[in-house]
Amino acid sequence: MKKVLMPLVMVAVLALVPFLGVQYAGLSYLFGVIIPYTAIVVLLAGFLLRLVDWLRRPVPFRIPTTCGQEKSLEWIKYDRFESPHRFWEAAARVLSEVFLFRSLFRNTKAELHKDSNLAYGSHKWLWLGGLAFHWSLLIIVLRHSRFFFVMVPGFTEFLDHADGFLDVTLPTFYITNAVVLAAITFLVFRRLNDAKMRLISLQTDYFPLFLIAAIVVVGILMRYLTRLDIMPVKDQMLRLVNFSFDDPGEIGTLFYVHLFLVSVLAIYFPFSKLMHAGAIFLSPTRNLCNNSREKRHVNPWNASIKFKTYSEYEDNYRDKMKKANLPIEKQ
Amino acid sequence: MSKYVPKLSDLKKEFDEKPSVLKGNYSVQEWWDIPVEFRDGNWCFPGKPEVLEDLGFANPRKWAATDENWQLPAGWQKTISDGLQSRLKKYRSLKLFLDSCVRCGACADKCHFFLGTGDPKNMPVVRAELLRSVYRHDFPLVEKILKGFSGSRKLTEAVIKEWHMYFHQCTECRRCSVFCPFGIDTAEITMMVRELLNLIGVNNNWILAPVSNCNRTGNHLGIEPHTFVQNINSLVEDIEDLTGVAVEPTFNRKGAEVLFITPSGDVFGDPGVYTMMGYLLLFHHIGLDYTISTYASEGGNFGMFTSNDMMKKLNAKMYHEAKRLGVKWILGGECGHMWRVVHQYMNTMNGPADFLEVPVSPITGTRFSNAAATKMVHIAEFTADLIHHKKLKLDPKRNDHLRTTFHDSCNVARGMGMFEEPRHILRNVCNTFHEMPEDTIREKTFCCGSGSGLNAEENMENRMRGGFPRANAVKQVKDRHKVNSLVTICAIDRASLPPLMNYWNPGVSVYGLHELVGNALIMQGEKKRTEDLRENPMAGFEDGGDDEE
Amino acid sequence: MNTVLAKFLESNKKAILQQWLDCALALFPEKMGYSTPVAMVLSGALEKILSGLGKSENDCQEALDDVTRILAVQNFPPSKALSIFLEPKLILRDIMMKTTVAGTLTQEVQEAFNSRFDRLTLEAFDSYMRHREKIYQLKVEEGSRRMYMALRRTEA
Ligand code: HEM
Ligand code: SF4
Ligand code: SF4
Repeated sequence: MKKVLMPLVMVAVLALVPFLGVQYAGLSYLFGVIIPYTAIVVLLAGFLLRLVDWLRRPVPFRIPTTCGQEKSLEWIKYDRFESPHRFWEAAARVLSEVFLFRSLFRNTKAELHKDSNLAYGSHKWLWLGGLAFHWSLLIIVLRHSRFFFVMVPGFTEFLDHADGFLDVTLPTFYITNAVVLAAITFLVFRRLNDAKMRLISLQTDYFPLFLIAAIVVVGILMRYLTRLDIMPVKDQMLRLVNFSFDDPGEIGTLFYVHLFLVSVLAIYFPFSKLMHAGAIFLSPTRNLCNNSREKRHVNPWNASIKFKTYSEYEDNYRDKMKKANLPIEKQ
Repeated sequence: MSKYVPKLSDLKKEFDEKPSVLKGNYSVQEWWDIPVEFRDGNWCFPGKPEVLEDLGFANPRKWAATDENWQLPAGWQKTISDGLQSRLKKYRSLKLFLDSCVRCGACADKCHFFLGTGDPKNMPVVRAELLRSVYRHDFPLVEKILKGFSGSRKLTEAVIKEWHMYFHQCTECRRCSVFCPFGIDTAEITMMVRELLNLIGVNNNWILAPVSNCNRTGNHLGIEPHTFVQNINSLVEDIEDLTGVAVEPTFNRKGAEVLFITPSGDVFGDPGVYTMMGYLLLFHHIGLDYTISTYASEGGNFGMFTSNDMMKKLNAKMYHEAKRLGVKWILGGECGHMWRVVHQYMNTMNGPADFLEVPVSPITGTRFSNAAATKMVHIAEFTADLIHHKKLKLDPKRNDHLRTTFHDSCNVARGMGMFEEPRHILRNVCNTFHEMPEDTIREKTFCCGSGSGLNAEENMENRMRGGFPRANAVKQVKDRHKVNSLVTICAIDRASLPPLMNYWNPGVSVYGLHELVGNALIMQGEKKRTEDLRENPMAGFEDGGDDEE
Repeated sequence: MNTVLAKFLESNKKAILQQWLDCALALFPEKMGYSTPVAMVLSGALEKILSGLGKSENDCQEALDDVTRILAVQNFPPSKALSIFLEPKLILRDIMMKTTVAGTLTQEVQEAFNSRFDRLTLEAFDSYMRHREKIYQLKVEEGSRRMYMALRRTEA
């Protein structure tokens, strides 16, 4: 299938570029300094611009999707998080989406029961896979912070230990590496396995999955197979953090591949669906209180329209209204 | 009937040309390669030229969806893309929803139209992609550089046809939005695309005719004031025949405490009128000081299915009339999309309603602080409060001939969040109430399949397909608990569920909630009641039967 | 109908049903998933038809109705919809060629099966048409329900 192969080829080519570039063309400065800087600028600026771009558009109406009882009569218990009434309740609703993927947890699938009656059973695999994927990703990113500080921060140490508690290999084996690969495998197979998913998936859906998988695989190879020397890497990262444009030292080529793919991901991020990471905080169906009858929501561009007034109506129907003994304003 | 029957020769041709089961080649590569086919039963008649002229809408002409040439106005591509641009500027929701979908597929099998038709373009995510693909083409991002990478495509007439088909196979029910991890609401996208389509005269008569009626006469059905009054008066006579009680509604009366507004279907159609009788009995029972307006005589708002401006225009009458009559607050009848408008749009669009007071129930003294700004209370909230304070004399046995289940209407469920009040009422006015399966009620309720102005007769097959998941859930309680009554609080439901039940579950009738209230109310000075409001015999109250009264 | 046939159907029910259901689901624009309500109802009904088949005096009417009720409102023509009743013959032939039991099914039994399905196809056609007519009837009824009060006034 073209739409799966194309992104796969693209990732492979992207991985090859720095390999050739550094190994044969000696472009370590380009791949070690210029591209990472560019990438980080594009990521930060792009992300910010996209956010600002969204934020400057008004939210004309208060349209939360209510997934639970509204606050109405006092003796009826309302659902704080599915039909929030106060700001902090709406905030909790959004955060539960961000950290727990609450709406995905609701996922159902129709199922046939023994008595040939149809029921909609819960279907939690996507939720689980998605959660595993994102949380591992987050922990991996946080773990990497040890490369960016001279003194390794305490929480990074903690993560390191917690993540590596299965101390079976040398260097320590991280659970998250395995989890993230398993989760990506699941997410890709999920797209291939089901007719519906095959149909809705685009190249741009496979691409980030393959790209992230490639980053992880290269990272693992670096760590366990080629036993990359960490110190020059850390030196280089520290230099980058300190806005230094010095030449990188001697580092294994594989590292450049890793760094380049991360750079590609960073550049790709603001222009793609990966911006869902920002969008989820702004979604008007989730982050607004369901209290539009209690407090007036103001629409900044409230369109002015002309409607048919009562007096026009009475002018049209005065005789008929009189006949029906309806009170009228003008005789 | 001949009009709707497909011609044999056409069928033969189609059978020969189309990929078929027997040939085993049903699977297509990409969704945009699947052709769009209008055939009887899957599209609604377009707006009549005179209706469009009356409304001042674009491109009035005679046409049909099955035409080869849709006579789109010159420069329509620009109209659409400018229209899209300006809406993207005005609605953060639209921009966000177009930008942030990850195509995770969580919404795919949640849409009743997809479940009922199996048509992949009825998956909410694909429905949104119909617009998104054009948006991506028009608003180039880096993704577009890599052609084919992100599935973008040009805006062509074929795309317009596709939009017309599939944005009129979405009932704006928001079920998909419940399951989407980002809350992407395909209903919002449908509303925007319908606005765009209206800009170039691609439309639906079943929506536009009521809009024009409502604009002219004050209600969708185009009932003029004297007829409106006559109708209600004949219901008053019916009530007197049945119960011996003379209820006395007033019309356009200044100085009443409450203005009551309900969808005109309740005044005109069967079985809505029985719900109306229920309201009238209730108001009489508690001695409410209320009036009904012939000008603001429509609770529903088909403008919502046309454009937000039209929604605002039709809705404006409510406050305008409340102000003129000098009432304290507004009470609203049972309706779905009416309440989406009232709850989420009215005060923003046509408020602030400073001339009204915070609603207080004159009977119980309850202050409806949840409606403090909009100043409009839902009748189910109002009645639930009355029952909670034991202000109603009810005999639930009078509904013993009904074994009920409750259909949550999409808009009330997912656009307002009212679940408990109607259930509280239902439990108090009847003895047998069984819920449908858990994943088909409350916020996960299935649409009737005819919402958002799709309940045109010519669209019947589509409606039967779209309503299938709902009907199937009813069938389960019918089989398991012998349920014979589907109770609902929506005027579109009252119109569209009867045929749906008749087709899939014969033997199940459709009731408005306040019809059951009306049955159960023990009115002061009533005569012995043996029949319900539909003049059906009540179980255990037969003439000469031994009831305890 | 015939105990040999009944036995054969019983032991191959699962395979036949699966293939038959696949054909039915493939009628839909993109093959309908197994876990959709439509597939559920179809699978239940097809099973009832099949298990009723081997027995004598079987009445599959209700199950038949369930199937045609779904087919009659779909976007495809009757010829295509009813083609699913032609499938079982082919499926049966396929299965018999593969199984050893095949030998025990005589020509006669096969013909009985086929003629039973021919009859079923005709019955399905009737049932399909009944549902089509129901649709027209619904349209008329709906119109008059909508105009209920107007009609009442003109009658009065
Ligand atoms: C605020 C942070 C984020 C939240 C709440 C979030 C949430 C989600 C959710 C709910 C999904 C859909 C379920 C799934 O397919 O797993 C998803 C998909 C996805 N997310 Fe995130 N995400 C976040 C950040 C990120 C980041 C930083 C990345 C990548 C660098 C990322 C990459 C992806 C990818 C690739 C998918 C698609 C998975 C697939 O194709 O099946 N997300 N995200
Ligand atoms: S659930 Fe939301 S993010 Fe997932 S495919 Fe549907 S609309 Fe897109
Ligand atoms: S709003 Fe309802 S009808 Fe429209 S796509 Fe979503 S689930 Fe389907």
